[in-house]
Amino acid sequence: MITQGSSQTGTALLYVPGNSFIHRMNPLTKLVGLLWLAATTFMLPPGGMATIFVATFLFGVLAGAGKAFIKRLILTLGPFAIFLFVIHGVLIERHDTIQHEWISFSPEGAQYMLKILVRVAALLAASMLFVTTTHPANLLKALDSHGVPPGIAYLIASPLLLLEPFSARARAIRDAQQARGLDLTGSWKARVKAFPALLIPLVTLALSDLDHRATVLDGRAFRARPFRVVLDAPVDRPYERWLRRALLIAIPLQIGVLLWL
Amino acid sequence: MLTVDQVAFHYSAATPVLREVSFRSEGGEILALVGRNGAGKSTLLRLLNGLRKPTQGAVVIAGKNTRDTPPHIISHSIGTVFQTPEQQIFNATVRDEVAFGPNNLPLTPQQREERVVRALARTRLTDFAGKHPLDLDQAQRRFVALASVLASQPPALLLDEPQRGLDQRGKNLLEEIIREEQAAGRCIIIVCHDMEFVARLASRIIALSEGRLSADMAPVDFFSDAPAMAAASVEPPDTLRLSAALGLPASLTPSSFADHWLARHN
Repeated sequence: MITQGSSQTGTALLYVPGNSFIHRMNPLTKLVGLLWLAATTFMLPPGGMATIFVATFLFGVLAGAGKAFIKRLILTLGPFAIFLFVIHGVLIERHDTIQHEWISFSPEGAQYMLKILVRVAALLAASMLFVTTTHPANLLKALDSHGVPPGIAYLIASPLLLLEPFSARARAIRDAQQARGLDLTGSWKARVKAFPALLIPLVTLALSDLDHRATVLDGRAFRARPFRVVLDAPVDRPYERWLRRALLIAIPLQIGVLLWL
Repeated sequence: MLTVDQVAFHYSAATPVLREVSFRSEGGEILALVGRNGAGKSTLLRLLNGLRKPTQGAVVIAGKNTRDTPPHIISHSIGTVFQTPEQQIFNATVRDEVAFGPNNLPLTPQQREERVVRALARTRLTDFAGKHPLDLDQAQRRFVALASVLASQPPALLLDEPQRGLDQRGKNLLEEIIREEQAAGRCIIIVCHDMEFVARLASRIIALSEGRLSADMAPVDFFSDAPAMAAASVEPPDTLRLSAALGLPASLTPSSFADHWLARHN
């Protein structure tokens, strides 16, 4: 039987299959590591943040997710960088603003913009490293096997789990609207006009899905027991457990130092 | 009106979805597109309405080659009702939803209004015109989607599992509308797994198997051809099985079965 190719039904999961060191790490270690990196980026100078960004990017490439990294980073950081530059480099008046004909520019503003951009880039790269090397199902198993209540585990993993059906639905809505005459190829004005026809069904269906999912989960006695038994829990090595403990102690300390200083 | 010429399609070269599919249709025909899950029906549907472009061959609908024409222009020639009407509903009232198609066409306000009123009447939605489409039941929402396509009056209609979720009354109304469209000279293509529905309505059956056209024949011939049915993974309608068991000529509908039965016993 011929089946539809993956690029159509596609997997909207960001997970990139692999067997790298990062892939093999326990999802909880990666999750805690991500939280620690997030806390750390707020303490470091731009050079440190850039180092985190480069390091996580390199880890991503070594894990075989380089293509996904580059695509997402360009798509996200490109417009964000332009936006930041316009706001901080051009629009906000500072003491060092230089007026050149019709345009004004502030080097200090540009420096500030760079600082924010590098921080966001580091956070994004660390998040990307987590989602590209962690399958949501494995994350759920890891949370369940550590006694996290099913409702909370689902809450943590659901954004990753729902990404795929959500993207598939967005594609189906786009197809349905185009097939009834919606022009998505015209001017920006036509595209803006077309936006509600794409967004409203997506939001409406997402909301009705929430209700449906809740009913289905309750129907399957999802919260009947406080904890779930996992038969094939991800491997959790002793050094990872110690690493997590150390990071979990470091995070509040770092936040405390940050607030104190 | 519709020409599918040596069409092939793949998402990646290693997994061809459709291979060398060819058929033609003039107006006034009801084509049933059948085949097992994964046979390529949904992909063919998306090639017919221009949402996908063939990797080889051509799809020409009302003189427009889908390869060179954007989907929103193709939609003037072929209207599609998808399986899930909720995926297209976004207006606050049934009337506005039905008017969406005509609003995308070069029509005068009066022409638009006439089309909307007529489509609402044909789908028995006139009394619900001011309601929010999502306040209607599933069957009525399906008719909202159908009315929205009917109001555009395209020369061809693509209906993906149109009978799904309809009660018998809804099915009867749907059949009535489809026959009216056929009588008006439109080409209607139905993707369907319900062989009773297909047997009652179709004038031709296009069967797909493993991405290839495995049959293009009249319903009576198709449902009498065991290998063709096996390739498409379909079972004949009950009336045909009954007529075969009783040694009567092939009957696709209860009324034709009754005719044959009475003819034998009179």
